[in-house]
Parts: sequence; structure tokens; C-alpha cells
Amino acid sequence: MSIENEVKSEILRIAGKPDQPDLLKSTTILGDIGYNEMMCRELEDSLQVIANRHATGKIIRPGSITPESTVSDCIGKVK
Amino acid sequence: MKTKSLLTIMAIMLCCYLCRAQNVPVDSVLIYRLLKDISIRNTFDEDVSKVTPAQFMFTIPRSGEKSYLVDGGIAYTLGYLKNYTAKAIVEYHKNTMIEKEQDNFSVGYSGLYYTTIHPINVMLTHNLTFVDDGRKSDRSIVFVGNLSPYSTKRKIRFNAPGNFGDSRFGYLLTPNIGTEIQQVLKSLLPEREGTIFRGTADFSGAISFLQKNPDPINTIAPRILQLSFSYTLRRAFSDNTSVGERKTELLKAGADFFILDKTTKQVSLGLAFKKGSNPLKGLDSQQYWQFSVNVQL
Repeated sequence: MSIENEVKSEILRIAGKPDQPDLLKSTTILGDIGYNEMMCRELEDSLQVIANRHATGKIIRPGSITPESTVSDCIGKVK
Repeated sequence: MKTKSLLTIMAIMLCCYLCRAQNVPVDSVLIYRLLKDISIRNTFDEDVSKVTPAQFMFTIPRSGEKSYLVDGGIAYTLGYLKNYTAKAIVEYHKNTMIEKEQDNFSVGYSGLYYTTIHPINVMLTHNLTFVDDGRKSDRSIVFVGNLSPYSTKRKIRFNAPGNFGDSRFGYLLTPNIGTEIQQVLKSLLPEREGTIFRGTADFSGAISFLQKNPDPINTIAPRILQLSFSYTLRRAFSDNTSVGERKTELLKAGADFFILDKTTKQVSLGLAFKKGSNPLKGLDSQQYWQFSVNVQL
């Protein structure tokens, strides 16, 4: 699975939605799929795990993901 | 004072409007950044996921006493560390529309820590505030600590919105247990001064009826109607004041009709029933119905 789809799958899992990453648009705002503050913190942890697994060298800063962030913002933080 | 506040709000609105008109990226504007870190809700003593909107209502009769309800707080996010969010909070709970009036102000610090106590994830909310109760003339330092499960990995989700299968019904479960330590520093009656140590348990949740959602992957269906329930039990394990507090309970049940429902912005018309007391918020034991405009940002 590509990094992009891995990030999308994780976003969908935390939101409690079906695992269909291909249908998740890059422009979708996390708040619009139900993300609250805690879910953003959980996503930061998950994205760090993905970044480490793929050795992208990216560090996800605490508080860098908010309900206003888009899916493409999240992908950009890992890639 | 009122004119000054009004002018400040108008200046902020004008600034945002001018930025938009000039196509200045709003993200680069200091005021916009400040507003982004502000949240409004009923209280910051409870879990961040819990639906507790601030409530406002005013009655200004031609003659006689004004009556009003201001029941909410504002928080400003100070910063983030790994799994930790720090906020400065101000809360004001004043209700002159009920049998035993409420007048309670607090200011202080609120922290949220997220960790795993195997096998579950938990949220630890901890607040340290200075509380001024206008009715009893009590001034206290209060510590509140709450522990709540957080789960998005299991069938039943905690502190994260969930759905009953493919139906148009959603749910939110936000139970917690905690502790409250209240040091009454000053009171009109010196015998009321001292320390109260309480244990708390809160069983709360909500069921919502949602709008039809044509794109369930990229959107969450906005709520039309929500029924919420909360029962908080407080038990004073130690109380060396003259109050002699033992057990207090607060039952809240409500129905909310949503005008605007986004994850970060909610405006609704609500009907609520409350029975019991909350000594920390200056709410004396009583029972009432309340209709209000609710806001959570």
C-alpha cells in the first residue's frame, strides 16, 4: 500500500468510516468527517508511526493536526 | 466598558473582512491565529469530546429586574507537547432564572493528557482554578482530575462519535471518573473555610438523529436532533468545613435541535432538564427545565 493510501486508511479508521481510501478526497477537511481534538492527537501518533515505518525522516509536531487540517495536509506531513 | 468591548469585536470583524477582501491569506493574520486557538463550551472540567455547549439567554423587561443566563467558558490553547494540550480557561456560570440563583466565576489552567493504560487508551483532564462563588462569597482554589476511556479501535467507541451501523443514528459515549479537591480560602462565614476532597463518577452520552449523508466517506452527517443524558455522582470523602458535605448528584437530560452542526462549530436550540447540585459551579440542589440557545466553538 502506498504512503498516501496508508495515511488515508488511518484517517478513515479513526473517524469510524469504511476502509475505502481511494474514495477519500485530498481536499476533505478532518472536521467534516467528525474529527475532534482527541482524534487529531491520535492521528498525529499514527502518522508518526507511518513516517517511521517508511523512514521518511518526518517528525509530526504535537498540535500540528487540527480539525481544520485537510487530508492532503496529513499526507504532506508524512511524505 | 460595554462600548469598548463592542468596538473591539467590531474591529476584529472588520480586520477579518478586509483581509478576505484583499485576498490576504487569513492564516497569516495574527488575530485569525488567536481566534483559531479559542474554544467555547459549557465547562472545561469535563472531557473535550463531551457535548457541553455554552448557554446564553437574556430577558430585559421595561420595568423590574433583568434576568439572564450565562453558562459557559472560554479557553485559549497555550501549546502542545507530546500527547498533551495546555489551555488557559475562564468560566462564568450565572443564572438568575432559577429558584436558587447561581453566580460562579473561575479562572485557571486546564491540561489534557492522552496515554495508554494497557489495554485501553485514556484521557486525563486536569484543571487548577481559582473559583469565586458570588452567592456564598466563597473563594477557593480547586483541582479537578478526570479519567475517561478513549477508543476508536473497538466496536464500541468512547469519546469519539460513532454510528449504529449504516443507520441515521449516531452516538457519543463520554463516561469518566475523577477527583475534586477544593480548598476554601476565604468565606463570609469563617467556619466554611477548609478543604473538601471528593470522588466523582459521571455516566454520560448522547444519541443523535442525523441528516441523510450522500457522501459518507468525505463528510459526517450533521445532526438534526440530539438526546443527551448525564448523571454525575459526587461523594465527599473528607470535609473539614462546616458544610458537612456527603453525597451530591446532578442529573441532566436534554434535547437539542441543531441550526448549525460542524465538528468545530455548533449552534442549537435546546430544552434541558436538570435535577441536583454541583457544588463546584455554585449550583444548589434544585430541579428545573430550561430552554436556551447553545453554542460550542
